Parts: sequence; structure tokens; C-alpha cells
Amino acid sequence: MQTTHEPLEIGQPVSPTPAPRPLKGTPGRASWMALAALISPALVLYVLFVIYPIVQSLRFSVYRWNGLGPLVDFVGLDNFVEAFNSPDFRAAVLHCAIIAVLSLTLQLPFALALAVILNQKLAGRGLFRTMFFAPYVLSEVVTGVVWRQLLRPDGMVDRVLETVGPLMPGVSSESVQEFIRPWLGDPGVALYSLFFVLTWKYFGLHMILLLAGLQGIPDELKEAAAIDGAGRWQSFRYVTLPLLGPTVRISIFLMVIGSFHVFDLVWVTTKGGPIGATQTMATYLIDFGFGRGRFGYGGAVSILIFAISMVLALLYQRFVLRRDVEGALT
Amino acid sequence: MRSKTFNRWAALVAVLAMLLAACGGGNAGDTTTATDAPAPEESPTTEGPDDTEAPSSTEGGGEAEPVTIEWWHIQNQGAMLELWQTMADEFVEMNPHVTFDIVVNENEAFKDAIEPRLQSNDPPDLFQSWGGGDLADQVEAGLVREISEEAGDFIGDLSAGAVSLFEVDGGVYAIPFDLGMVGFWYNKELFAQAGIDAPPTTWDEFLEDVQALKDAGITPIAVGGQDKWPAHFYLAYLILRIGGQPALEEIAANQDFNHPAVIEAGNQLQRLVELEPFQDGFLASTWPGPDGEAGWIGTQRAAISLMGQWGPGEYANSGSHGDPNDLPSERLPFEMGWFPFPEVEGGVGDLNDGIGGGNGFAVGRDAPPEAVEFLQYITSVENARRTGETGAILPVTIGAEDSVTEPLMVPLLESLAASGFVQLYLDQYFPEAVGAAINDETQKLFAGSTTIEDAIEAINAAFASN
Repeated sequence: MQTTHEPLEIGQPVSPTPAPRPLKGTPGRASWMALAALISPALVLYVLFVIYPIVQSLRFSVYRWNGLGPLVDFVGLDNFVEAFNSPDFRAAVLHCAIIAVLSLTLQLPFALALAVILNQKLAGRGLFRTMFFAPYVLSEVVTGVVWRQLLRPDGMVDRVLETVGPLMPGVSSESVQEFIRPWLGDPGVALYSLFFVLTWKYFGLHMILLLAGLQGIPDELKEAAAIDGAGRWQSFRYVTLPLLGPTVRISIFLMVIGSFHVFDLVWVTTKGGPIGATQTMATYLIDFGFGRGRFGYGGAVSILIFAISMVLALLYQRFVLRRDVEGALT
Repeated sequence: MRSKTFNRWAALVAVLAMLLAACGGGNAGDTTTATDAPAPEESPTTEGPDDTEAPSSTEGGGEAEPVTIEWWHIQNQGAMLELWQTMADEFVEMNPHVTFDIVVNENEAFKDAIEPRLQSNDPPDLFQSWGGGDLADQVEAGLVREISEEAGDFIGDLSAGAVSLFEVDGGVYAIPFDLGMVGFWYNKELFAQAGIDAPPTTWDEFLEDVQALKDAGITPIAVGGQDKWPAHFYLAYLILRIGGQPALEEIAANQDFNHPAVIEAGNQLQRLVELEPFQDGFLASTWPGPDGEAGWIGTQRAAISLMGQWGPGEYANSGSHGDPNDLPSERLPFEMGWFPFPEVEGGVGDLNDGIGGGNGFAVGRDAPPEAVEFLQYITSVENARRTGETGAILPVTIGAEDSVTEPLMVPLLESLAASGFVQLYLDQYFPEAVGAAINDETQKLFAGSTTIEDAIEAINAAFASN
């Protein structure tokens, strides 16, 4: 870009500047070719591995089909009706919703609190940040295998509770024994155990996201608030939190979508059991579609999952993320 | 173990060697065959389909076209894993034009891994089969080959009862190599501690013994509740003992579980469940593994396990005892016993009738004839005896029965020999969706979260949806 502060003198020849390349407008023939060449590999992969499977699922979803042989038994929307009426599928949707709500009410505030603490000057701050982020780096399968061992009856979690519990005031070892249960084997608590493990794995990610958000807030604003007489809480509530809005909204989005996609961790630890207590939409799909040779039904369930996720994502984009997309600061 | 990866490399080496030989001219005779290379120690692979089959060099193989036999089995541990490899190597030695491509999976992993291959209409040449509803589906889809004629030479050498499990509409589609029966394996030392001197012969006695074990502070029963099928043995046996063979035949013929024998079986099962006899967290327990049913038995934390002939080997594996090549009874640091599922008062089923099943290898549609020849080789009397000697397999070749020297198997084999009727495991016998529903509902019955009436309704709904 040419920025000239000195006024041009009359008569002085204008120095020739190279013609700027057109940034906008229709690309030339050659550019079209280049564009096509560059896009087509991605496009081919996208069509082959995203569009084609979705279309196939749609096709399967209106047949009764055991995965072998040709599609012949057309059943219309029966598979969808069955899924809607299936208490197991409804329970799976409910479990995903429970994980989403718990993530928003427990995991998010926890991550936010840690982010605020670790944004302050603190000895060993870097170490803590790395430590809290570390679980996120593990694969879900590794996490699942490790926690399955920790949570097993008489496993490390039980042992720690037995040892540490009675040291606390007002806690007897009998009440600890009463509290201890098969964390993954009791249908009443298995889902919450899994939520705990999910939180252990993912709070670090949200903490880092929020930390980055916090560091984007200029100190001058907090100083200004302080000069205006705002206390620490008021400064946090009326300056920090609003400016953190876009980051929080992205975190919420990731949590909700993530909750509806939980699969690996559940599959490794409980396979959706006991008695379906930890079935998520994805494990339901694998168990009742793939696992039982009912690929038509599986197709219908996968379309439903796709629709539910898509509607959620679009609504969120439309009503919550719109301001961020338009460039609002808060 | 010869895996796909290895074969690919071997093929590459062979091709390169041939190229080099061709370049060198005159030295072509020096090319080594890929199949002669020593098999590397590799972990079981679960790789998917592979179209580029490893060619073996034809030199020394006479006129025969090189063929590859892709073989999927689930004997993924212990002596059988090695023995299958040895037999494949021996077969290659006799037929140098044959190359093996062996894929080994754990039981549950196999079920997941085989599905895409079947679905893509590309079955392996030989693969694990339990017969029943799954095999019937594969036959209907034209994925497996009828070998009644091809294997006519040697089918007669096998126990007719075992072969019948792998027949669909009168045609044979798989060759069995193992047939056994489910029964109670128990820890004699823990029984003695609880003051029980003889195994129970009636269901009421069984329940009393369970209570006695509990009173002695011993976990009476370990069950792999998460895997579900170990729990389904209880329901299946109760139906068999209460209603006998006719009840099971009626259920199958009418595709209707609403049968008095099933309802009574549910009530009897509830009596057991109410005693809370299972290990802590049994609903999250699998069959194998240190936390699994087998681990609880193998480490003497529980006394009883209702399981098939593969039980003792896995108790030793999951309890990390001894050398996998030794007999289970030598590996286990405690004394075990076996007793058949007890009779139920008022039931019409015979004590020797069993829930059981076999393992066999189905022959893929496009398998080379050599695959069937190989099945003949592994089920010959001499080789069947070698499988029996491992103590992990109960061979079905006539004349090989007494090769089972494992003392733990003796009572099981006696019961099997005396039995007039063996019902295939219900979850394998019925179509996949129905089998899965039976397992699901049994798990719920074990958890006390459903009634037998609701369970029957759910299983019948699976019949309707299939």
C-alpha cells in the first residue's frame, strides 16, 4: 500500500507503481483451472466420505436390511417410528441431554474459575496450566481404559475414599463404605461417573480456551473500572464476563455438540450399560444397528442423530452466535 | 503368526528378489519363496480387506497356481494360537503353492470385525462360525459355500451332532472342530470353606449352597454381566430344565417366548437374583480380564461360574497363572470341579441335556478348494488329537475324544456323551436381533429392573422387527 505524507509537487513525475493484482472479481481462465485443481481433491473426498454415506444412510433407513444381500424389504418410515417409540433411544437422547446440562452447570464454571485463577500471577502457573490441559491430550480410549481400572470395585478410587474419607471431620469409615458403590456397575450412578471422567478429560480444553479469552481483555478496562470504584466482583461481573462472552459461547457450543457425540469413552468403559444406563445416541446406534445386524434401522437412527445435532447447531448459530459472527465484542 | 503386514512385506521382498534375479539373468533359480521365511512374532491384527493378495512364488510348487487362504480365527491366546499356526505351516510345507493370511481376533472383536467384510460381499476364505441364526443369514446372502459334496470325504469322520449345528436346510456350510457344553465350574476349596461337601443336584440345593457361600463371606457367583451372554446361560438352562427339549422347540417354531417354561424360568432366576450372589459391580464386568468373570474365578475371589468348555483356560489366563502352553488344571493354583446345571423341581428336562455349542470354520463363497482341504487336514484324527491335548478344545473327530487329557474336562465329556439333546446357545441360535434382545433382557433380569413378562414382550418384539 502506498502512503505518501508529502504533498506531490506539481510537475514532478509520478513514480510508476506496479499495477496491483486484482484481489476481487472473476478470476481468469487460468485461475479457474488452478481453483478447480486445488479444490477437486478436497471436494472429491468430501462427496465420497461425507455426502455419499449420508445419502446411503437415507436410502438404508427406509428398508429392513440385515446388512447382507440386496435391499428389497421396503418399510417406509417404520424404522423412524420404531426409533421414536423406543424407550432405549429416548433414554439415549436423555442421557446426552443430561451430560450436556451437567457440562454447562458444573464443568463450565469449574473451567472458568480455574482460568481466572491461572490468569493471575501465581507460582508454578505454567506447570498448572500444562497439568490441567494434559488429560485432553490423551485419547478417549486411553482415558476410558485408565478410568475403568481406577473406578472398578476395590480399585484406586475406592481405596482413596476409604483412606482419606475418615480423616475428614464428621465422616466415619462406615459412612464412607455406605457411599462407595460400583461406580460403573450401578445403573443409578454409572452415567454420573462417566460425566466425571468426561469432565476430567475436557475441562482443561475449556480452561485453555477461556484463558486465551481472558488474556484478550485489555487491563486498561479493569483499571478504568477500578478507578470508577468497582470492586473485584463487580469488575469481574461487569467487565470481564461480558468481554469473555464470545469465548464462553464457543465453549458452550463445543460442550453441547460434544455431549451429543460421546462414544469412545462410553464404549470402552461400559458399552452403554449397565442395563442401558449410559447409552448415548452414538452407542445406541452401534449397539442396535451394527451390533444386531439391523442396518436399515441403524440408518434411520443415524439420520435422527444427524437431524438432532444439525438443528441444535443451527439454532445456536442463529440465536446465540450471530452477534459474534457479526463482530460484536460482548 | 503370519499377518497381513508381514505378507505384504514378504510379497514385496519376493517381487524385488524376482526383479533382481531377472536383472542378473541366469540366476533366477536363487529366488527364495516368501512362505519359507520365518514367521515373526506379531500381535493379532484386525486389518480390513486387502485386495492385493500376497503371491507366493510358484517355484518348487509344480504346476499349481499360487493361492492365498485368508483365515480368521478367535483362538487368540495360549496353546491353540500356536497350534493353528503350526498346522498352517505344515499345510504350506505339503502344498507350497498355498500361502496363509491369518487374522486373529478376540471373540467380541471378531464379531465387529467380520461384519464389514460380510457386508462388502467379501468374506474371508475360512472364518469362525457358531452356526445358528448368523450362519443362516450368511447362507441366505450367498456369502458362504455349501461344502456337503466337497467335504463329503471327511464329514462322516466327524460327530454328526456337531456337524448338524452347521447345517442350514440340510446343507453343510462349516466344519466344526470343537463341541462342548456349558456347566458350573466351581472352586472346590471355597466350597469346602463354606462347608459344602458335594455339588448340588437340584436348583433348591444350588440356592442353599449359594446362601452358604454368602454366609461364609465368599462371593458365590461371578458373572460377566456387561457382556450379557454369560448371564443368558442361566435363563437358557432354566428354560431347558423346566420345559425340556419340547419347550425350546415350541418357542423356536412359534417364534414366541410367551411360554410357561420361560415364565417359570424367570421366576426361578428371580429367586437367585434376590440372594444377591454376584460379584461387586457384576453389571460392568466382562467375561475375560482381571475384573471379568474369569478374573474373579481365577483369583479365587468368587466360587462359581456358569461357562463352557473354554472356561478353565480363561480362568488361568485372566488370573495370570502359569504357562499358557500347560493344561489349565496345572496352571490354576487351586482345585476346580464341574457339575451340570442342576434339575429344577417339577421340571421335565433331563440333567444331561445341555446348552452348548461348537466352534467351526465357515467356508467363504470364493474360497479356493485348498481351504476345504485344509479343514480336512486340521480335523483329521491325528490333528484333532493335537487340539484335544491342549485342553482348550473338545475335538469332534470320531476317535479323538480321548485325546482330552485335561482332568477338568472329564465330567463335562461324560455329561456330553450321555446327553440326548444339546441346545445351541440361545443368542446364537436365534437371529442376531433376537439373540441380542435375549441378552439385553437377561441383563435387566439380573439387575432386577424388569419382570419376566416385560422381558418376554421385548424379546417377542425383536422377533417381529427381524
